[in-house]
This record gives sequence, C-alpha cells and structure tokens, in this order.
Amino acid sequence: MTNLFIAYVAAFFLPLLFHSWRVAVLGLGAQGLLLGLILAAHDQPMSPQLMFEYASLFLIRAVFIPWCLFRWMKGHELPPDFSLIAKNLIQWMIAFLLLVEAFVFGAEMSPGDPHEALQVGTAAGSVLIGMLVLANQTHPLGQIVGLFMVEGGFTLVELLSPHIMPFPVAIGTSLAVVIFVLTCGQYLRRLLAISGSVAEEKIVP
Amino acid sequence: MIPALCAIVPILGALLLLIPQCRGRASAAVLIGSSFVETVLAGTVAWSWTPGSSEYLLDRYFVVDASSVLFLGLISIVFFGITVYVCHRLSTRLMPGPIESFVARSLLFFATCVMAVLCNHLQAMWVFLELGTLAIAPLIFYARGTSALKASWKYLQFSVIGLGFNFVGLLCLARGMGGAHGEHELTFFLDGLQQIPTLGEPMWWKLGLTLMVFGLGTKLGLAPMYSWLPDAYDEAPPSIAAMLSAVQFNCVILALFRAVGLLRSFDPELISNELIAMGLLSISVAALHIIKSNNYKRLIAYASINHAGTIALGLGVGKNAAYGVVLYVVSNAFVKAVLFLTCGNITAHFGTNQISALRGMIRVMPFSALTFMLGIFALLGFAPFGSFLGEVIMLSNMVEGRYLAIFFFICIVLTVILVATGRSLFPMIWGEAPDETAQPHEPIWSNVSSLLFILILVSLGIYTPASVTNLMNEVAASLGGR
Repeated sequence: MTNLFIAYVAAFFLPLLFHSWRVAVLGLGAQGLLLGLILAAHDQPMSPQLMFEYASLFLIRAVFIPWCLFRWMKGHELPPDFSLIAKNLIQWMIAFLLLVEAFVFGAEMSPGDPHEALQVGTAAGSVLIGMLVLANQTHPLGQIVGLFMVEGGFTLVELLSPHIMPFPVAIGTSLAVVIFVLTCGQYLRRLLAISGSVAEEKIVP
Repeated sequence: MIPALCAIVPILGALLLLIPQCRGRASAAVLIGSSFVETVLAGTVAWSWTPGSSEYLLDRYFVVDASSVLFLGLISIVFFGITVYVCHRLSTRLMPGPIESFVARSLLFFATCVMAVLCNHLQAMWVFLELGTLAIAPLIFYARGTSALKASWKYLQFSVIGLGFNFVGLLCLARGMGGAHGEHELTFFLDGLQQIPTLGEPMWWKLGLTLMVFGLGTKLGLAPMYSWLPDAYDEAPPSIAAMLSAVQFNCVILALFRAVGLLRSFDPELISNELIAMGLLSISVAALHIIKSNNYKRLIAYASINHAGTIALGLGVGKNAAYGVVLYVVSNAFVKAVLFLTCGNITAHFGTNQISALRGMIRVMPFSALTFMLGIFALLGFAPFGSFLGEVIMLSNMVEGRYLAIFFFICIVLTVILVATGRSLFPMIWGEAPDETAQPHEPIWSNVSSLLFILILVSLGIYTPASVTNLMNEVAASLGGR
C-alpha cells in the first residue's frame, strides 16, 4: 500500500517538472489508475457498490478523462514551454514545501496510524499542489489539470472512509464527474477558440 | 407524491422540448407552464404539511419538514417570477440565441435545486448542488461575449472547488464521529446523524466543519473566496443572475442551515467565531467595492456579498438572531430578484451598465425606476420591508448577546454602504435626464414580477400570516434559536 501512495505522489508531482501538457494529462490518468489500485488494496468484500466504484475510478478517471483531454487538444498546439507551474526555483521550492507540509499535516491528524497518516498526507498534497497549479495557470488546459488534481485528492479522502456510499448517491457522484468532464470540454474548446482569435488579431496588422 | 412531482415537473418540462412542436417560441410556454405548475405544487405541499412534522420519501432520501417547505415555496415563487420576466423578453425578441437550450438548462437547474431543498442525505444534497452548478454555468455566457465566458469559467472553477471542500468536510466529519474504527454505523442521512451520541475525535470534526463552512462559503460568495461572484453576476443575463442569487443561493443557504442546525445540537457555540470572522470580512470587502463601483449591476453583486456576510454574522451570533436570519434570507431572495430583473430592463433600454452614463431614469422608464428605487430601499434595509425587520432583529440580538464591538462595526459599515449606494444610484433615478424631451416608454408587463416581489417584501415587513410566521419560527428553532 505504501508503494501505491509513493506512486500517487509521483503521479501528481513529477508532471510539475516536465514542460509538456501530454505528461500532465498522462499524470491525471496515472492518478486515476492508482486510485483504483488503492481501493483494491483495501480488500473490501465484493458488492455491486464496490464494482461500480472500481468502474468509476478505472474507466472514468484513468481512461475517460485523459482520452477526452487528448481528443479536445487535437489540432491545438500549446506553447512549447508550457508548464504547470512557473519554471523557477521559488515555485519548485513552494511545491516541495507544500508537499512536506501535507505529510506533516497527515501525521498530526492520525498520530497513531502511520498508514492513515500517509493516505491523509498524500490527499492533502494532491489538493495543495492542485491549488498551486490553479494559482499559476492562465491556460484553460492547465486549469483543468489543476482542478482534477484537487478532485483526485478529494477522492483519496473518500477512499479513507470505510463508509460505502449508497448506490444511488454513488451513481449521482459519478454522473456529476462525467458531466463535469464534458462541461470542461465545452469550455476548453471555446476558450481555446478565443485564445486562437486573440493570436490572429496580434498577427494581423 | 406531491413533493416528488415538484422535482419531476421541471424535468418533464425539459423533456418536452425534445418534441419539435414544443421548440422555438413554444418553449417559452413550456417554461412558464412548468414554473406555474411547480408553484402550485409547492403551495399544495405547504398547505398539506402539518407543522412540526417530518415526512420522509423514497427510502428517506427526501424529507418534507419546515426548512424544505419554506425554501421550496421561496424558490418556486422566485423562479416563477423569473420565468414571467423571461417570457416577456422572449415576446419582445430581446433575447437572442437558441431558446430551447436556455429553457432546458433553466428547468434542469431548477429541478436540481428542488431536489437539493427536499434532500435528507448530505452527500446526495452535494450531488444536486453540483449538478445544478453544471446546468447553470453555461447559461452565464448565453448569447454573450468573451468576458462572460471567462466569468462563467471562473464561476465553475470556484464552485467545483468549494463544493469539493464541502464534500471532503463531510467525510472528515464522518471520520471524526468514529466511523473509521467501526464504533457505530455511519450515515449521512440527516435524521440518522441526529441520533449519533457524540461528534467523536475533535481533530477530525473540527477539520470537517471548517472545510464544510469554507466550501459552502465559497459557493455563497463569502470572503475570502468571493471573486467569482461580481464577475458572474455582472456578466450573466439578468434572469440567470437572479437564478444564481435568489434560487441557487438559497439552496446553499439551506445546506448551511442543515449543517449548522445539526452540529449545534451537539454544541450551541460551534463554529460561531468562524462564521462571525467570515461575515465581518465579507461585509468589509463588499463596502470597499461598493464605494468605488461605477457599474450598477456589479454594485448589486457586491451588495450580495454584503448580504451573505450579514447572514453568516447572524448565524454566528446565533440564539435569538436565528429568526432574524431566516426573515433576512427570505427577504433577500426577493430583493435580489427585483434588482437583477430591473437591471435587465435598464440595460436593455440604455445599453450600458455604467452608473455615470445614466440620469433621470424616472422620466424615461417610470416603472423600472420605481421598482429599482424600492428594491434599493429594501437592499439597504429600509422600513417597511422584510429585510429591515430581519436586520433589526439580528442587530438587537448582537446587543443582547454582548457582541457590542461587532454591533458598532456593523453600524459604521452599513452607514458607509448606505451613503455609497445612495450617492451612486439615486442620481440614476432622479437626476436630470440628458434628453428632457424623451417620452416615457415602457410596458408595465416587464415589471410585473418585480412588483409582485415588492408586495411580498412589504408584507414580510408589515404583516405575515400566522402560518408563515410559525414556519419561519420552526426553521429558526432548528438553528438553535426561538
């Protein structure tokens, strides 16, 4: 289980160091996959609700979200120097300190349970790094990646709870995620169209 | 059965738009028809409800209690008024763009609001608030330009983050109640939560509570997460601004009421300081923005932040201020609907939102000027409107509760807001018109809903039927007041 949390931290932290939107989107897919594996590691008895939760994590978060983002970005080339946070030592230090702070917070919240402390720290780290990305980004794709990083952290907190959501609520939650993804696509296309027209205006004298 | 119909009717209305004969201009009839039936059904629910009772529906996922009856009636009346306004705009061809998508999204948004109001399960309520946000967000840039699109995107981001924090808050609260170690069966049903003997580990429930209040505060536009609100309200079409500020706002307020009521049954002083701090910060921020605002729609948006702050403050002060809070919330829904709908008439006529460009409105648009003026009086908390009474009850309870420093601070800030708003907006109404020869030209039909809302506001301040007073008293009691 510890390895899965380390991998999850890598999935949301490493894309900050790469200057590629594709790595950022793949990072989101990896986070979805790891969330599913973390749920599987809980060894809960199989039930329809649990099956639905697996489907929601593996299909929606690991496959559907990255696939949609790649599809929407087709034909829209981002600046070659695209990065989730500004490329300077101060921003990297802030990201690192936020991560450290998240794990300190996890240890404070669950002093007697190292496993829970690790899970809380990872979730808090994902939320804080997602917020940092949101604070840095002006590009809609970067903002969407930031939003899903924060959402991933929230989902990790959800996995912390032994309480299994009632089936109708689980369906509603997954439906809300799917509609949110599709709505993000609607905004992304429109916002990219605006930035394209602005670029054209700058080119035309 | 009837409460379930309240949620089904708007969905059926939206589905009707799939039939070709119901599209185009007929969609206006679908909108107003659905909202009328909805209002009648909400009235029937209120009529058939026995005071003090809670009726559970659909495996206890929905409940008809005092809070849901009051808020269902409130949002139904406001939504009906908004649809009357929208139909007028459609009949005068003031509304461009594909009407069906506007009507369908509005109805689906309203359906989610109805379900959120009737909901007895905290996570399900979250789902409905999220779905409502997703339904209405694209309407903010309906037939509008780039800045509206950006404002809408900002609204969506803030809302999703805010609701996400609220969701995590619920999970932390559950974890704190001992569920993680299996002490008792966990539940998010409101009636089930009331049976739990203790809140459990303080670290967890305090974190949960903070996140819940922060999340709902973001959705209400409370400082520090308020920056989406002026942009969204200013850029949105007037009917959508009214839906956001008077319908969705009240659904979120009900979620806050439910959370506060539930937690105060464990400790009456819980989250008082956090709510007071957020309230004071919001009122101060709103006052500063109102002073320098030169856009009347934006000014009303800042006044909305002030209102949200006042409500938070009233909830923080607690005890007997609770009745004042409930009255203020109800009045506030009508005040904002009046002002945003009237703003729509003014912008359609003059083509600008700039205060400095408008003078002598009373001569050119007498009905809109009148409703705007009365709406501003209600906004500023003048007698005889319900907002005045609500504010007075809250202020008097601050004195009774020995919150004297807060009382004096609020009095000063409210005076600043009064002067700044009056100085900006009254010349718009009474000042000298640039063109003295302009003839009054305005159909009263465009102001019917605003006039109806003003009548209700006056009634809330002067006389409310005993059944309505009892209903509000019961909601106040659920907040720990009397």
